[in-house]
Amino acid sequence: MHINIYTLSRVWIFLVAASLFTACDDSFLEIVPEDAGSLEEFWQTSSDVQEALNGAYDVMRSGNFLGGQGQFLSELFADHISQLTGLSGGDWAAHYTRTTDIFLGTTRTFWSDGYKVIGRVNFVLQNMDLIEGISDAEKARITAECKFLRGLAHFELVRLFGQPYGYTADNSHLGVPIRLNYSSDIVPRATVGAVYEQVIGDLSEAAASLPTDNNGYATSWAAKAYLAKVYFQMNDFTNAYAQSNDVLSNGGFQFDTSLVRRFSTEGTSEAVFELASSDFIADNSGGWISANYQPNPGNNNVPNITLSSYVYNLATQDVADKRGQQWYEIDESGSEPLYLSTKFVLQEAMNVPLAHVTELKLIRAESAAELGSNLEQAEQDLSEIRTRAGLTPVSSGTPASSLIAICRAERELEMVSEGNRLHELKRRAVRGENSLRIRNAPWDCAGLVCQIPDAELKGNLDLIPNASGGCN
Amino acid sequence: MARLLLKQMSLLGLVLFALGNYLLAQTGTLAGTISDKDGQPLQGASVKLPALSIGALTAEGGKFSLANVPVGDHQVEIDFIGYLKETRTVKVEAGQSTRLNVVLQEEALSLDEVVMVGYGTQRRRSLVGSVSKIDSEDLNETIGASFETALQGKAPGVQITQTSGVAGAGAVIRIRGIGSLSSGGDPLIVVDGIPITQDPFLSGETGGLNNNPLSSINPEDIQSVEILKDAAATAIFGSRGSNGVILITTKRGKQGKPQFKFNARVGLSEPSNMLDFLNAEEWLMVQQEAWENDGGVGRVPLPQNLTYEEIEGVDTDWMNEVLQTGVKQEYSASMSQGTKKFKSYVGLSYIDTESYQKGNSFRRLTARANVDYNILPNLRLSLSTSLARGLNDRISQAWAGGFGWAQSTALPIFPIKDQNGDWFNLYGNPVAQRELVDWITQEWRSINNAKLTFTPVKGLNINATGNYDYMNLGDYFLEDSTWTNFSTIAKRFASEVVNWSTYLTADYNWQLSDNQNLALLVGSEYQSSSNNRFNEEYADIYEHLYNVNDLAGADTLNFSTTEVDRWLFASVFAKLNYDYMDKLFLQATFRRDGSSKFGRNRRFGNFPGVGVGYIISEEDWFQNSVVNYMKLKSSYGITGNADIAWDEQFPRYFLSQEPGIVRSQGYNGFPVRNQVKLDNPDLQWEVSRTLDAGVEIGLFNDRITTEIGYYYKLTTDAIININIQASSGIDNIVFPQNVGKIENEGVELRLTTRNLVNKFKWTSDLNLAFNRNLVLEVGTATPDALDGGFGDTRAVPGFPVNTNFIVKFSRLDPESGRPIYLTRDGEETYDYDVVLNRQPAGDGMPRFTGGFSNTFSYGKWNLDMLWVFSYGGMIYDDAAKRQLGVVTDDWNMRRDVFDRWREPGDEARLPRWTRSMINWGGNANFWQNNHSLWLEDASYARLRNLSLSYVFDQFSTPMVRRLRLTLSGTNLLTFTNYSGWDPEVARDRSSPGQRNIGGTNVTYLTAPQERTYNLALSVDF
Repeated sequence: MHINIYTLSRVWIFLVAASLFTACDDSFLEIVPEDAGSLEEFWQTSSDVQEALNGAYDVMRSGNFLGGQGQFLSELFADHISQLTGLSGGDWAAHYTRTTDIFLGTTRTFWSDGYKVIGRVNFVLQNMDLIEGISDAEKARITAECKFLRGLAHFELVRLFGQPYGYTADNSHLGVPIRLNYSSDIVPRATVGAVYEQVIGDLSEAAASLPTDNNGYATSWAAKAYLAKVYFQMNDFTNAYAQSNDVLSNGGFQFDTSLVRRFSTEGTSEAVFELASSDFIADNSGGWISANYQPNPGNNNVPNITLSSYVYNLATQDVADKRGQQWYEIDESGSEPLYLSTKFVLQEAMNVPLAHVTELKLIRAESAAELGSNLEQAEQDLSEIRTRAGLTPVSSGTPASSLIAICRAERELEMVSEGNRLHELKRRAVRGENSLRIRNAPWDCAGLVCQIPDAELKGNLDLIPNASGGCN
Repeated sequence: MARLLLKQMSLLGLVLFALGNYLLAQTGTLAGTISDKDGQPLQGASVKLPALSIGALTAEGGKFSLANVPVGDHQVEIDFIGYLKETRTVKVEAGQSTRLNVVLQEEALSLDEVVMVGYGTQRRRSLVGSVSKIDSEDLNETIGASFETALQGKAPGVQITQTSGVAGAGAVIRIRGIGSLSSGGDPLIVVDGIPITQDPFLSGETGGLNNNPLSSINPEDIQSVEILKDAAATAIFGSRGSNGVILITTKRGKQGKPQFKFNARVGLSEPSNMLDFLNAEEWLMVQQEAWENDGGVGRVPLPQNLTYEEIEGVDTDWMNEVLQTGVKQEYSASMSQGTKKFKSYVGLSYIDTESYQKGNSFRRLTARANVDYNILPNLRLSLSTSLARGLNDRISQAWAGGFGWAQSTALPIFPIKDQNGDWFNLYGNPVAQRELVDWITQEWRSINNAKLTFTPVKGLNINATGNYDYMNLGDYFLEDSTWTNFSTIAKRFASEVVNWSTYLTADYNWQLSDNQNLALLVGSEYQSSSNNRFNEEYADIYEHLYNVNDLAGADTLNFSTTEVDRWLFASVFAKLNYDYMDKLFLQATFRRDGSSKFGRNRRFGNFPGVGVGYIISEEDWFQNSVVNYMKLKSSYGITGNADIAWDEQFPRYFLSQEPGIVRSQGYNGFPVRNQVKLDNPDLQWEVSRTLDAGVEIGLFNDRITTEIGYYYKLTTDAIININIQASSGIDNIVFPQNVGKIENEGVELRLTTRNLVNKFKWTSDLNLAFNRNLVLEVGTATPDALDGGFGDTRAVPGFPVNTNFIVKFSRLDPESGRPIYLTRDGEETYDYDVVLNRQPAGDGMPRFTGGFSNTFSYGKWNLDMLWVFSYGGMIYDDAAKRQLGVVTDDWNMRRDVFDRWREPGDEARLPRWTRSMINWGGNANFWQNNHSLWLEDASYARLRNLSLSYVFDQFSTPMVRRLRLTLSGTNLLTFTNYSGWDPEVARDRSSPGQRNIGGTNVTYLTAPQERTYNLALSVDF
């Protein structure tokens, strides 16, 4: 019996050993995570494609990108925000003082999430053909939405990470990498000119193929509105006028008589393209924007962001101006007066309009004035905006140069805290105000451009970082 | 051979005994018990009266009795293999029975000591590898600490860094340096043959603390800990051996009547060091001076828009609010018994230990039963089971609150509560946090195995073992409605880890000739582990969820279960040992590992090891009067590190919704999905090639014993988290690849001397380890890609793993008080440029570490003293940049901040105060203020343990055999130049890579170690 068991155990050990030492079939070692699987599992139906596209919208409205940070970074560099306790240190202080470096979480996540929008649409574009049963019409619509998002994201990125369009005559100064593939390929930075070219190409294709109504997603009007914004940023007034006029004349969007609906749960009839919300907290695009303007219980109820006395005084100097009345509060209980923004009320499911009728009217009016044509249209647009604010309309026959000045004044007041101020000042500087200073810094000092973050530099040893400093 | 000797001696004893009995008339009896330091009886010890040539061997229970001993004073010699010989003088009186109880001390380097090795045991004599053994009595120094902390300073090359003095904190264990960058650097921990669940990151760094997976093991249950260091010892653990292996063996029943043991200990805890922080007046003074330095006029504006009236009279000492004197207690009891057929050990323990932080304690209840049953003469069943429940009353640390906030965001000008009785500054107030958030970490742990040993023919053993290791680690929160600004919320975040394994081994011992022996071991092993994560949150529940059975009426805020880890290993292994004349030893081992963790193109790894040992002092020509023993040994082998995330090889996808699961709400009311990471099918284990050489020497009949070892370990295929450009748009831009190369080289020394050996005994033990660590290659990773978490440590080729890659501070400008930095070329500059000027400025790798212990004994008194030391590593104090750096109005500062420059000619440590880093040449973000002014020498020497004990062993009742009283203290003295909390520190981090690169010798508000005072009572029945 001993021998039997001895022999048996030897055989057993031999078999186990042999099977492992020479294993061909190693499938018993395979453990695939339940929620991971393979591309084949992940990517089966047309609704999977739609969900992947929806994922690109989702990351676009992240608080790190256009659900807050994009707006804040622009405002922090400019002159509408006050330096107060919430800004006493940390990343925002670096932006406020125009002394950013490559390690800031703010720019790292803004950059990463911005490019995730691009990566996700590139993934869809690359893999859509693997799925059978998507109609050509659906494919065209999805492709157009992808290109809209790709163009939009490149545009938002290049504005913060490069000197403005027109900074060099041929726009050969460095912008951001252009990403047209979902891959780990190493890609250098493209020139600002090349980025704008890509943005216009993508948005134009989108404008041509998108439907006019799309359940809260991008429409052809959204693409045209963004084209208007892009052309205006480039000081290309002909195209800016054409695109904005097309949307305003044919899009069916209503000028909103209320000032408090622009950022609200119910939304505004002005929204040509907005970040959507369907639920409080979990699916709310405006939560982080409004939260930073609300009292912070961890900071003796001082909001993280308060406004500068400069913009408060500007908005309230005319007591009739409803914007001054409805969008600002002053708190004098502490050692220093606090200027609070009430433009963004904390409420359920706030949509964030990224292109709206008021902005398009300002683009159309200023473009008209710059071009010296359609001045009546400009007067009418500005009058509507001023009348809504409780101010007098623009008198007829106002000269173009005065109209431009009015446009700029109204833009500053209307677009307050929406992330437009820095880009607008830089556009004007390029337009001819060479000596323009932004809160005492030359408009073209290196520190007024965000640093390419470490998360990008780590992956490409040859990537050229942005210069820093020079603003103080 | 030893057994033969015993037999001869016993025969001799019998003969002599009979002879004595016959010759003498006026006699008495000499009787007593011989036991070891633990009070365990020693059976078979020899008790001799050499002058009379009489003696006996101790019987069961360590008892002996010599009748008919002549009246008078006698010299008695007590001897037992593996123990130091004792000599006593006794007086025997006519017709009386004289008692003699002797405790034998173990030999420092016992050649016949049995040492645990992978899948078996070996005599120390035959070891070819480097193995350190630590016995049970050295494992339980601090009440409530887990056993590994007691290993510090006791084995050369084993660096144990207790992370902090927080109750429930773990330790970072590094054996012979660090051979990994992005993957785990911890040794494999094996309890009674089970590779246990040992992940310290199960709950990430929640509350600024990593979980301690070893805290549920009762140190009193441990018989010995063996640390396997070189490839000869670890190659049999294959792909998991390269960071060393720690074998833990629990106590088992010993043959004899039931022996009971009871321990009770009480102790007090306080911080090992205190730092001074600014009071309100000083804080305002610093703010005002900095404000005026920056050109401010008038009074400095207060933070949070406070007015001076509001803070009038407020001066909160936040340190005082969070600190206390902790009380610790521990009770344990055990029973051991054994017959030929059945042996058992049962151990129970309860500890309740407070740390020096208010609201922070660790309670643990453990039970263990180990039984061995001989079913047949050649078939034995061994069962081991343990159950433990740990309850850790948590206080957030570092950035997350508690002690961390008390020295940072809680300003002395802030009251605890405002005039209305509401908490002031709720989310920065450590008192509010402690009162409003009740946080318990509960761990249930059970480690079990069943082993059948069958010996079908002499020399052949077949072992079949089944192991089951269960761990349920849950963080339970009960948050007050004031804190949540909603309802009272009860939360549970738990990991349930189920780890089972089985192995089958067969070993055969083959006596080739009188002089040669061959032993062969073959085996196979299979292990599988899974971890599921449970997240639950309910509103309107007022008890911890582990006490709640009925959730009716609760409002479910969150409920999810996620599989977070699942892997398996399948292995075969073999070991061949050959010895010649008990003086030449050869060993070869081999293991082949397959694992689900390895990429699909890299399924199996092979790990061989060879070693040789030669006891040169056995040779006739060697004999001399000085060197009584000398052994040379050397080994070489290939081992691996398989600490790779289970899903790393797969592409991962995120789906916001699947049937029955909602992970996120998606966008615009619709689900979302996206790819998270790329496919990585070529990822494999890290490979280490280790060469080891050593010599063991005994001098002057073992009065001095020493062991000197050298090793060189080259790790290739080290996993490096290569970065993909973030602009790729891929969610997970970290892409691990086997591209790194690291070397560790070192010398280890152990020197044990018996300085005094008579009635007054003094033994010293010194161990020293020198390690040189160098990163050789990191692929395309830049230093910033290999960071230790934040702006302080990096892995840079040509430098040690945890290099401080920061701006170098040169000196203060004597004219302006501005800091002057150094460029990479060594030029002085005012420009603090993180991109251009950061450079390797030091590293956290000690040049040498070690321990020095001294044991003095006189009669029943015993004094133990253990010093531990570390020399040459730097410590990066990440909080100093805020506590001593730029003056900010949202942190408190250390009183050391007053050592600043004020006017030309000042000799000061710190630059001129400013409220803006821009004035120090940097950018406004003071978090990036990482320069070598905050880098300090972390060398220290510390009196780790001092204990004085007295043994009572004469009792009128036979019930009590022995009673020991011990007074002890830990961390009583520390000598260091480091100005922060504690030079012995490791920062809790969220990943293995961060722990390797920025774990030890980096601190960020990390709580110092404990100093404790303890009184212990130990009774043997």
